[in-house]
Amino acid sequence: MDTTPRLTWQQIRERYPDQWVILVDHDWQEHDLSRYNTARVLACGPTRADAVAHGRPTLDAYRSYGCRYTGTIRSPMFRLKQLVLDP
Amino acid sequence: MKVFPFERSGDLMTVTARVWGAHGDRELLLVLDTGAAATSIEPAVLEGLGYASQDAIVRTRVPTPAGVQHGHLFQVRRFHALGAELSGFVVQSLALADEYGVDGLLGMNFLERFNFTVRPVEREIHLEPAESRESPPTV
Repeated sequence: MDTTPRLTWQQIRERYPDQWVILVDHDWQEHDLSRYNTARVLACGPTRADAVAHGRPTLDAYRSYGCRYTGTIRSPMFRLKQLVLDP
Repeated sequence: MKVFPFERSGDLMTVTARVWGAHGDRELLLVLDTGAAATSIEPAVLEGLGYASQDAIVRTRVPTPAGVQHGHLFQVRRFHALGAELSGFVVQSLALADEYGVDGLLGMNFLERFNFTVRPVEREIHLEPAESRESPPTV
């Protein structure tokens, strides 16, 4: 099941640009349970749903995983809060 | 005082977090949003952990520029962000759509538990739990 290499988030972003990736087997930090050094990429896809679909059925065996986007976060909702200067 | 790094993605400040449910736990990427009253998480994430709409505390309505969005408030078993672990923390299940690239928002119902300073240049958040503040000296 664990055939992919352990990668840092920076390495994951470089190897899977602008993709949604399913991350498993995180080595969570002892002093901060929401941060990790490395994880394995189980599957990837252009959307969150595609990545999850590609990860199945193996993904169902994992009780702990994450689905992250490796590209730049762009959001119309948040952009609406930005200032736009009238010419 | 604790110091935590955050990531900048575009103009947003994001932090990793983790939430637990009956079916395990999920890694989250949340936008630090002092304009959000509640911490919000994608419904699919919460549903995958076993939180069903019938378990919700209450339904919510969130007015947005695109219209009103409906959500639910859930009390999650365990929540961890910025070095703090909370049990029974209340989060809102609210859809943000894929284009956002995040799992939700870290809102004021979490952040108000701390005095915090955001240092954008250093990409650090300095946190001090509110209850650990020293009492003023008595005279």
